[in-house]
Amino acid sequence: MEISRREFLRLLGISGVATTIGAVTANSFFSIPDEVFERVLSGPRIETWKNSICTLCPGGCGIRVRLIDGVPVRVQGNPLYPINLGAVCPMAESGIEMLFHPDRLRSPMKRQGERGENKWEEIGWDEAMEALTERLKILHDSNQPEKLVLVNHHPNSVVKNLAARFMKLYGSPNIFEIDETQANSIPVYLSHGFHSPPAYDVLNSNFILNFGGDFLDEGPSPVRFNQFYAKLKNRKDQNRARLVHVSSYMSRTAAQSSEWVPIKPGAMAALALSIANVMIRDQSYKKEFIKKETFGFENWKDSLGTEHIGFKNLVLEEYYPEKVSDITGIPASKIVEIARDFALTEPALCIAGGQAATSTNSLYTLWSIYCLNALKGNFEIPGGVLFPKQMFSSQSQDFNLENVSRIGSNKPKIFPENICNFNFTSDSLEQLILSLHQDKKYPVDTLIFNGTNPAFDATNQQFFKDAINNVPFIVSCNSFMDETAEWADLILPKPVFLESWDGSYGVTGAEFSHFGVQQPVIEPIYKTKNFGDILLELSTRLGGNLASGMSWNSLKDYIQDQSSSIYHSGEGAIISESVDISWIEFLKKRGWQAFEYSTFDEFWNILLEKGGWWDPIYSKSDKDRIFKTKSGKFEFFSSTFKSEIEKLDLPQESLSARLNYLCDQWKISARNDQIFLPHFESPRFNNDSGSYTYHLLTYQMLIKTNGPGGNINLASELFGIYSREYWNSWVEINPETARSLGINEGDHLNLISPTGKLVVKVKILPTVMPETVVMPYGLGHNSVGKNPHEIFDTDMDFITGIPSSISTMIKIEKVNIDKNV
Amino acid sequence: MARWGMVIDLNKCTGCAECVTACKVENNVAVVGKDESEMGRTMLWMDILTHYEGEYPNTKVRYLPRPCLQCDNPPCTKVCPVRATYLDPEGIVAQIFPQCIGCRYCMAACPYTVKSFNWYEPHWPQEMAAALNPDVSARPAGVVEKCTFCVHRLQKAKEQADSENRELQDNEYIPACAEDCPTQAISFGDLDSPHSEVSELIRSPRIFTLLEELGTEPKVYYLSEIE
Amino acid sequence: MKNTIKYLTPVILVIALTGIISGTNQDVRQPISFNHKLHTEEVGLACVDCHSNVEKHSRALIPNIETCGDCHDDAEDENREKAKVGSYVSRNEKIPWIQIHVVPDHAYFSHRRHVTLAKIECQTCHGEVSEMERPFIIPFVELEMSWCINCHEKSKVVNDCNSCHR
Repeated sequence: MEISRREFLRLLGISGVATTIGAVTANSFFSIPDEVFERVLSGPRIETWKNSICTLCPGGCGIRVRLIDGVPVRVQGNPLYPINLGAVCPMAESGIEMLFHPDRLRSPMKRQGERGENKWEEIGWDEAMEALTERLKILHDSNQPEKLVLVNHHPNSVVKNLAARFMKLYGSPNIFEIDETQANSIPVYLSHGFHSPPAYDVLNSNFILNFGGDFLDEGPSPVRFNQFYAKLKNRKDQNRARLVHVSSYMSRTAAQSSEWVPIKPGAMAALALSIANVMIRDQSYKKEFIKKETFGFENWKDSLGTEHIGFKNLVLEEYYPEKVSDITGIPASKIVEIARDFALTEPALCIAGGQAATSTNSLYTLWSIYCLNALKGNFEIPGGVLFPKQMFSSQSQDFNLENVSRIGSNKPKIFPENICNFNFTSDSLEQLILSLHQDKKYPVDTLIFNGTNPAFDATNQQFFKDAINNVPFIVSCNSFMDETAEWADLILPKPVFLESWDGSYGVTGAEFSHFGVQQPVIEPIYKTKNFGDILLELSTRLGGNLASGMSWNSLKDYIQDQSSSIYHSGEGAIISESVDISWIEFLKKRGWQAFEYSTFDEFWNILLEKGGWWDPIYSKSDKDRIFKTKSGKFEFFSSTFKSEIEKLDLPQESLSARLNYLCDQWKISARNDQIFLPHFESPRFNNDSGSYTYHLLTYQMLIKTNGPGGNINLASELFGIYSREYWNSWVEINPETARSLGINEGDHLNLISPTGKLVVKVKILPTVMPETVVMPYGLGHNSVGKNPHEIFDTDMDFITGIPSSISTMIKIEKVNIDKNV
Repeated sequence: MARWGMVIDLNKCTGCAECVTACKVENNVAVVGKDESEMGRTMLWMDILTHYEGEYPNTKVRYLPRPCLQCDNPPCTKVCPVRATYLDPEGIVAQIFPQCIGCRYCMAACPYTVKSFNWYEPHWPQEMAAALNPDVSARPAGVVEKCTFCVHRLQKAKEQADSENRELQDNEYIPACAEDCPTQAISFGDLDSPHSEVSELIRSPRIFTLLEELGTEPKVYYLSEIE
Repeated sequence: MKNTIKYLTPVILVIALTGIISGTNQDVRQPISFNHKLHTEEVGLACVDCHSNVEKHSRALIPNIETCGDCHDDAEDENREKAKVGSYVSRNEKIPWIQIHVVPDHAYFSHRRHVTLAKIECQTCHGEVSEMERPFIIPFVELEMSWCINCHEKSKVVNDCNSCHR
């Protein structure tokens, strides 16, 4: 069977592939089931609505789907759902096209011919599952379960928990959880001693200092942040919040801020520390908080009497504005101005994301920025940093591990030598490719992709083919054929989010506990199975402790089981029109529950009808809950990091020998105490020859953020809504760059990096810094547009495994393209 | 009788383009594909105009959502030889697709370029037939189309109100863009009703309309950004 | 000669098409020879008993096996037509009725609006159905816009284009 995805897009608009809607008639070539089509043609056209969750991005918005005779025609926001309050983004809106997309995978497929040749044979589910089971059984029985690798992309979903449980029971440590929203957990781990993304009380703040977080287009929950920014901008007169956006490109988020401060790529840590410098010199930091609740601010002596440098002196010595001005390209007076605004406004919040985590110094950048919140004493106060309760976090290990599984799951992950498996880091696709590509601690046998597409998304995708060449068996679970699935041996088709069960909880940045149920608004229209059900069936087939440890009949069962823990806790309430927060709070204070449901079934049915549950009451945390460090305080000097290094399995005995070894491995210049303090590491750029002079940056648009659905026509067409380059990629350059190179609007440029070339059309825009060129990311899946990740020459922050995409340097050349071709 | 109008608060708008997508999906506006798009034939009933001001680094980017402005003195209706476009009694500039002969005079007359022409029959992947909104007809080739203020919603809302034997209530009829705007930047309602949200908003000192000097009297108003 | 054919082709096409369009209805064969008269007069059913959506929704719909199956499920019935219904029901297969009264896509037409709110008799548009012993093969009236407008003008209700066109 041939997959005509590439052809399809090219042919759109030619009647051979398409049908005319004005005169819809039954068509024998119609490939959606007859009963669905029948309903469309001659149904009574009765309108109903169903609530569910959109899981296209980590945001997990509550959705309300309009059905005509049971067929979904429109996705709108669920007005009651606390994350998005009735709004959705263009991605969710295109969910309908996703559901009926001609490229949907309709049944399991087995590879025919060579890998990547894209020849497939349709097989039944039974055969497909049997093939996978057999493979895993042999692996498990021969005591090498660690050779199974699972790549998962399901942040905030209950399927993630199920997958983690499966891997544990099977006995492999190699689960890669791809989640771009977790970067801010890193500084929390270093300074607070636990791993959890913080929530920012943006709405109650009067000054937001945003380091590179393009939260209106990407990140934890774009819809929420669009609402936040609109509300902040719209506060009455003197209460208007001031939003300062520091980044190397003026994104839509920067454009919606009060001020954009352009900064040289990779220099954010220096700016943050310089702001700290000004605050410390001005004595405008929260002295009381710093004195009582922090460790490592002043110089200190350890138990042996050795003197260690404190954050204060480090910052005062190294990061005065005049010096940092050279590093960042921001005038010293501007740095002082921002620092004073930040210090004197109450409450003022500092947030980071996106560009702050794209360089080789990501860890120290995120940490330095985060420490500004400590100087403001910003923890657990209105307008500050909050630590919401984690739901389902303490997954009780209510199962027994077989010996094989225990040994297997305790083995080290397949990371290469220079990446440590710290438990404060989250996994990236780049890390995965690097791990598979380089010499491994042990070979990989079976690789399962669940909805991830490293062959397109990863910024080191040039190594992808080599990386997977060494893997004997690759399984791809997906709703569409994508660049990664083309290299698989077995394809298991998944339903799209409108057809499947799932649950969403703990969206990064939400300050309340919440749980939304994703339910099928239409029965799966093809022979698909969601990933949870695949894992459960696999467990049954594999038998043993896996079968008893994964004993749910279906994913729906598992979700019901999870919901019952909410039901039994008696906390919070199912979202509803008639209840406001103050009422729930009033009742709770008096020991009452806002709602009583007589049975779990009643609770479950109302939960499905309304779409979600939440606990809006934020109980302030005790200090010992938010500071779990050795000192019991906020740590500028991270003893947590130090003890992690002591725990590493390395040949070196002494700490200093270990550190020297590690710093070489990590390619960082800091030594001794500095390693454990926020500081500025010079970013590495791949410009050895000196001939690559421009930084290549990318940005995403809300219309087509990465993730599933790269082939959605609606999104491709609207991709150019701001630039008027529909269905096409472009590169943005500064007017100055254009003048100096004699480039005019609409010319074509050849972008040359050490790893490849791309020819793209030029837009000359004042939103771009002169030393950078900027490309939108999202197109390039087929004949439409270009994928900038193809020419990335990515380095890495080896401590965290965060890819450093800005390490890519390029040169640009004008090309003459014959317009008639 | 109502006089429908819209107020778009640019201070609330973040330019996220949800209104554009909502409109395309709600009204079955055709996806024209790459080649057609390159010829400038993209169909957008609701568009976002992006405007760059100032020089680097003092750049300002502005976003302006632009539906059909539903003028009270519409230039497009005056040139239509067949009355396929006309100002209806409730202030909506109607576009009657089967009546249109495709002369495109109205497109030329519209100073806001809100109209698009169907160069071909709308083509969709076959499977997508099920996903179209049955409340709105797919336009045949050779006719001009544009934002209708989601008039199909008005037709249904009126029937519902009549069946319950009552007047149409505020917010019972809202176009898809206004309903789905994540930041509630788009307000919609009866401009003549003294207590409607829109009639209060148009008294704001921030109010303006596009190309006021042409005398087209748009019923889509904008509230300027607060600097 | 060649040229003549070239010029004539469009003309021939138009004639052929007209023939197809106007000829269609005469060629319609409904799958079952349904007898409205029998069902209304002898069985005593009202229109809404089977066309149950007509009062509440925009589409009235031709009843199908879910409705017919209430009374007919015998595929072996002596009466050939009844047996046909029974056989569709027992096979759980939709009866492929051909819809004769069709309002085009671009017009907003609601049965609820006309039947429930305006209290218009079914017969006004569909004729004396209860006298019919065979199913529709041609519409009672050609549902053209003039038919709508005439009635709207007579009954002095709204006849603005935008209130029906969409």
